[in-house]
Amino acid sequence: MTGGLVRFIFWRIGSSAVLLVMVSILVFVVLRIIPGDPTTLSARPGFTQQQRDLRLNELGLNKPVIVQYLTWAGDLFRGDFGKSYFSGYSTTELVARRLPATLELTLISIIVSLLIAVPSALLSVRRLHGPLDGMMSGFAAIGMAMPPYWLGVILVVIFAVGLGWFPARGYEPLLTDPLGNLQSMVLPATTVSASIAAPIYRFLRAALLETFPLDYIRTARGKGLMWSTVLRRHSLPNALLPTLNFVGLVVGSLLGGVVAIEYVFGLPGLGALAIDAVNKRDYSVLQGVVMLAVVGFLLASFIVDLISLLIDPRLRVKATSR
Amino acid sequence: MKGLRLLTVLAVLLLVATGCQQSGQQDESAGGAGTEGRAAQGGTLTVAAPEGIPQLDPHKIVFNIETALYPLLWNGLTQYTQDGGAEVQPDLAESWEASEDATTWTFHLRSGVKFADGKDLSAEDIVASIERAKSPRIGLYLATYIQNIKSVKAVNDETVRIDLDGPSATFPADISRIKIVDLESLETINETPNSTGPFKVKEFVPDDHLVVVRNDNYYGEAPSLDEIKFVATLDPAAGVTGMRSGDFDAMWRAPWNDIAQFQSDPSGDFDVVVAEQSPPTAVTLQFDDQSPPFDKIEARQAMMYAVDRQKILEAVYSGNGQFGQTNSLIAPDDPFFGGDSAQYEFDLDRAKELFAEAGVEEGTTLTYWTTGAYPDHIQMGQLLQEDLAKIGIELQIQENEVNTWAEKFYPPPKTYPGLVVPNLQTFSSPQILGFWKSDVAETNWGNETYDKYVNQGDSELDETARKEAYSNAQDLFSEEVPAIVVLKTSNPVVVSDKVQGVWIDVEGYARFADANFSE
Repeated sequence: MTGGLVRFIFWRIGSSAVLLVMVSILVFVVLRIIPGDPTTLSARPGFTQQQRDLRLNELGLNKPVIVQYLTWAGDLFRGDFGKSYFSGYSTTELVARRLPATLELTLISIIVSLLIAVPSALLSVRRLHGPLDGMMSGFAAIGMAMPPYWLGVILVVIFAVGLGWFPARGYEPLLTDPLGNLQSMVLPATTVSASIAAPIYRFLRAALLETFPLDYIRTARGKGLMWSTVLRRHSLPNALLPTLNFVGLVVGSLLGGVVAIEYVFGLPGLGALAIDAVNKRDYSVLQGVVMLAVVGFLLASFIVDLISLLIDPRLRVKATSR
Repeated sequence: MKGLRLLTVLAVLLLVATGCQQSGQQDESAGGAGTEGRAAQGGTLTVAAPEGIPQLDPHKIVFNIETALYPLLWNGLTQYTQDGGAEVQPDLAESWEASEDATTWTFHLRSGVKFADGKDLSAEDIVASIERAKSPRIGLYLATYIQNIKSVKAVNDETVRIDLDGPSATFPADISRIKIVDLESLETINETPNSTGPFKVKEFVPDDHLVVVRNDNYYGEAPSLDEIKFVATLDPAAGVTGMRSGDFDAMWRAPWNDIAQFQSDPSGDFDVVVAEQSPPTAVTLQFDDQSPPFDKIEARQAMMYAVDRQKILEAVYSGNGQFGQTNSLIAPDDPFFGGDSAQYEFDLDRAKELFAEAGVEEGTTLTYWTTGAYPDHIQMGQLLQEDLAKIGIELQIQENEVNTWAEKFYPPPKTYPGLVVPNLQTFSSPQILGFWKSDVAETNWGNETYDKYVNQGDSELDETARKEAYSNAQDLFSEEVPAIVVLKTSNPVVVSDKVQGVWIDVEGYARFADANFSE
């Protein structure tokens, strides 16, 4: 039993490592295929090809791609993520500085969206196809259709420029200014939550519906339990399990999705760092951010899987009998 | 993307609507109080910067925003000032003179200049800084301006002598770009740079924000502001909303379509600052002058007739700019503006004739190679597209990611037949002429006579002879049209109407050191 679990964990680590290597090759090659290099945007009028070659040579970018990759991968293996071509700061330091804003935004958004999605889904299925269900589904459709970037702009226009309740942009660190931190998080977190609460709601609603024809629900109803109690005690726990996996996926994709939001709200997060690195072709910074995002994604889904295993005996049997 | 933009436009309309409502209320409460305004001491000016500041070493700068910090933190031997206009003014040097052949320049230093930490600035600091800035190991792009330096010597504590490879009349202007640092504290230049300017660094987070505070050891008049905070605002839309919500007091390089809205904003809460004289930015249309069809002078001249400069100035740049009758790189109100041989008016019939002579027949398709980084260029392309369609030429507007756009033609020499490339060049006058010498500009135009005129102007100490040489160069440029100068303008700064004293220098950089808040 435990041996099976250990085997499962090792299998996951092994497949994650393969995925990481593949991603690292992909991001490395793609960055070098797209037009431009670190000298393109920084070059000034009068910059010659000769000067450019000199600079590329200095940055080690004129070597064959395979040599560049192996050098980078070797450094990576030793925990050296390289440094920015422009500021000279190490990628690790830049990422560490940008991580708090992104993590905070992600965490708050997940909590808020769960607080919205779970009760909404329960209300929806309580009277299936009733007026409340229709309204919720309508909101979900709007939430999913609305581009987060645009919603962000609208919120800024109304609540920051118009009413002046919240700052239009910026970020105050949690430790130095807790109140300012909260204020600066309200609008971006609302924007992100609105866009991820909708798919979570839909998934959970469907998962709840799937439990209805199952035996244990029929038994619970047969016992004479109230419908709302059946939903809460029997249907919800079973429906939450697959939803947990789905949330894991959403968290992973969120690392990409918050990019635009950070941009709109001027949050000094990983997304803004990545966009800036793409524009400037600051290769090692972007490679570092992508690798860390992938590690984060893998870690999140791994943790979700572990939690599922721990709380659902059925899955444990499946996993260990592999 | 299109739909998104439409939605954003709606959002902005909504924003203007709410803005109107608010301003209406404010006007009532203000009750027509005096709008003259007195200058208030102190305060923090928060500036939306169009790009992040990666580092603070003035010899390692690459981005415009880094250069804009120059006058706040550092000093050179010479400088440009608001009152001085295009004439270079004393800074760390109080005066200077050239040898008769203009190959040796002697600078007499200001005494009693101190670094922010209290250390005296010495002649050796100046020599060492210039040598460092020039070194290829450092790779400063501005070093091209001082490549003609043969040697720099501290004659004594008050004098620095610089020997050049050849004569140069522009040297005092060229050396203004080289800033003097404390070489002993280079280790900590990104945390606490030991600067001599009116401000010093208080807090710096690379690519996010920079706070500078008044430097009490500055030799000149103390600035009015206590602090200036630069905040990287990569999304221009976020900068614009930040201005409207009052989070920012100033925004440098706001997009031109937003400038129009700020200028006509009914609240009157905003001012737009542009260069008062001789705007330094040339908005150009470039071609590959070695590839068809623009290897033919007639094709280039035809395009010159097809560009409705007046309409572009009004519709795209809200009238913020100028152009003359010729195709000149220098603004008409600049003392070095000259040449009148080739004049162009908007004339589609003439354009059609010339295109036919160059073999560009009706039904030809040209590509307008542009980037979303400059929305004004796209608007300009749309106007040109309409006009060219009238004479049977299709202009396809292709919008690219900014690196993709630049890689097509840059650095020279590159081949790009059939492309019309909108671009901009920002130089002080008459330095901009030097950019079009052989092998420098991306248009692959090489003309030895032009090179000769520019070199002659650059090395001539006599003002009249200098002007004549530059004038000849402009004549040639206007006739041959290696590129089209649509107009001259400057990157604008939007400021809150409470902010005074922001100005644009002759090189196009926004100056914030003299800013103050009026009450």
